[in-house]
Amino acid sequence: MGDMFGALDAAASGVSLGKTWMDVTADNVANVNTVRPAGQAPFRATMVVAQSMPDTQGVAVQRLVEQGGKPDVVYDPENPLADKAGYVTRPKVDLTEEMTNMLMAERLYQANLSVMQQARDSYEQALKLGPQS
Amino acid sequence: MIVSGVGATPFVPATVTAPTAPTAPTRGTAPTQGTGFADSLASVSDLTNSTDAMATQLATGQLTDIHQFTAAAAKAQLGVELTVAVRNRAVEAYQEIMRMQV
Repeated sequence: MGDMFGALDAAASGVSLGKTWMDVTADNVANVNTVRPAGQAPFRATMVVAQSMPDTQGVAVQRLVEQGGKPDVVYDPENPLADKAGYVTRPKVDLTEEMTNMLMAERLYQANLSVMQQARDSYEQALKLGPQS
Repeated sequence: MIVSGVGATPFVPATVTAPTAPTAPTRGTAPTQGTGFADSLASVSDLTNSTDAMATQLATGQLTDIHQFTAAAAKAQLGVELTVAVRNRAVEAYQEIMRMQV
């Protein structure tokens, strides 16, 4: 803290996190059907790891990690990307989960914007204290 | 771990230089009114300058986070309003003293 506009900065960092989350989720949803050729690692959904910043400075993206777990393997010999046995490895993305994440990211973004607005209004009110010249 | 294939922009903390909050004057060693006000003016000037730079970046597409600009603009506006408020109070006090009958 100690910053003159601490609430504004902290809320702005939250908006940044919301934006990163939305960007990542959009990328995951866009690749929900992206099958990679046999032999290559399948697409895995990216997840955002958030980290709180010291001294109430808000939040930051610590790192982006790929979702673990075993991807689905389907038998589709007609697929040009299938391996010799006719199996295709599907991308490791859960569409339901991603849509839920998108909702949460959107709310995170909006909530922090709302905090910015209210902090700004409060600072303006403080300036109006006392007799007007 | 190297994460590839993500088109997301990594988080970059706002490049706005935080306004140096005027240090609270300690009793006995209080700085003169003039230097404190000059420092505040300089930090407000920094705020408006960085907002101008961000407006250019936004117009040229270099700024990917829209809210960084709006946050900087809000800070600059508040800084200018604060400066004007302080100036008004100072002028008011001066005029009040000048009106005093001697």
